[in-house]
Amino acid sequence: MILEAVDVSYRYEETTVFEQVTFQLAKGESVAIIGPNGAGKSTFLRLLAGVLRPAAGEVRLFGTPIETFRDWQKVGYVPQNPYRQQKSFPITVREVVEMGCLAGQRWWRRLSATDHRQVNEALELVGMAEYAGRRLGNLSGGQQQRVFVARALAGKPELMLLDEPATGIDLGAKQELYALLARLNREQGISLVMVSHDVELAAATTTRMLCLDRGGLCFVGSTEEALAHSLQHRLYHKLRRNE
Amino acid sequence: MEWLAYDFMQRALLAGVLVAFTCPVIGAFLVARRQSVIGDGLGHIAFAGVAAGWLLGWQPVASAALFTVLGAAAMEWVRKRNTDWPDLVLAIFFYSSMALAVILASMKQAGGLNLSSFLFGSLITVDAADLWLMGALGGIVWLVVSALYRPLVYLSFDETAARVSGLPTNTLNYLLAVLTALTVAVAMRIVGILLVAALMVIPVACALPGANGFRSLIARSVAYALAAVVVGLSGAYYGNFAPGGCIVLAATGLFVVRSLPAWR
Repeated sequence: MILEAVDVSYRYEETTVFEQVTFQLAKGESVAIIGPNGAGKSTFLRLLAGVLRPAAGEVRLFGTPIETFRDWQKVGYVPQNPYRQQKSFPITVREVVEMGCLAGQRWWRRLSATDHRQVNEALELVGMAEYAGRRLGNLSGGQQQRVFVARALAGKPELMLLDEPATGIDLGAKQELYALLARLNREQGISLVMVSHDVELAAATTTRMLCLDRGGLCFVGSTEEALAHSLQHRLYHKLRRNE
Repeated sequence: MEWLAYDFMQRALLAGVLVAFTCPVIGAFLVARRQSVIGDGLGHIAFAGVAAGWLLGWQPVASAALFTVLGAAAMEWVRKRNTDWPDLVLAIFFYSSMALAVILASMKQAGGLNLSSFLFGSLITVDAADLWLMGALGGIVWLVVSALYRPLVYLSFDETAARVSGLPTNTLNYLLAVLTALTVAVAMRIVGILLVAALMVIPVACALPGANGFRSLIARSVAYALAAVVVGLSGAYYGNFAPGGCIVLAATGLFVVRSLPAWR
């Protein structure tokens, strides 16, 4: 298993967000985390990324407890709505993608020729090579999100963690982004864990779904099971109400 | 440029150039992190450092540097532990430092301290020792930023992702706080404690609209700061005004001219 969460609980001040969630991810798998607003989907992903620490339980990345894990170049992370907060930040597409080369490396080292090649490859993969010199804030939401996927790819990850990657972008750009993620999983063998509100698009992209609701894990299974399961309908309507 | 014939003006210009090359480099990171006013607060701590240095018989720039570095590190430590009210924590630090400075400066032993030269900057009191110290501190800032440019940009742009990539974000936050403190100490002598933050922020504000990338932002900010220093020092010499005020007003003038097309 490249990612394991065992009996993980998280509390914020006096409130329990979720309790005793157990989840495993095998190499090459792609999983969508779904559930209503406030269920703790993004919190769970941030626990898996080591941004937050669980109140109880353990997270292991590539067999190593997350507290001692150091091979961060194996993990690519795409945060929630990064461009909305940083729209006016004066930075080029290439500068953003180059940040991905720092993952798991000595922080004072210079970028090598290999790093520059990986940056170019990542930009090619997401179809943003021709925009490398452009200022990030001048791109559309969908294009910017591709840049953040390229940043995650620049370190050549084996696992990508994506927090609602398609939030705030139009339907066409969403479909393109999910198709890109499915291609990365299929052709590059990159394992994916993504938080998503787009149940149908996520189902078409991933092989498994995990649903968080009412303080715990309420469903985990294949996307076919999830879609066939009556629970999915309940979830779907619940999500729609929350949109 | 007849004013350059005088030794004290040559020293003032050299100090101004050092300041123009140092302030916007750190200022670009502060503006990007929405921490534009932090230099202002560190100026208050520098004031306490100057007064304490005078009482202890230390070089004022050195004592101000020590105080601001310790104050910046303490502020970062407290900020990490009070994420709900970070601005309130900073405000308490700033006012306490100012209160300490006022008490130290009012002590009988501090009678000979020329406060106004530190508060508003001075052309004639910049001596060779100040220049050497400003050069050394500015050099440290440039060296560290050059060596850690990409991690610092990553930290400023997206701290969460930087943390997930394994960067030591806590250490880098402390480092940036210390570099800001050193920059305040560098600029204090010529711009003055009350206006020290302005030269970190206004040149960056001038450079923001046309900057294509972070390197471009830093380069353009330094160019605007240099222009403000030369124009401001000329004004200070011919008008016999405080140099800090002239330099900052020159920078503000550049900002207004730069912003006019967007305002129309």
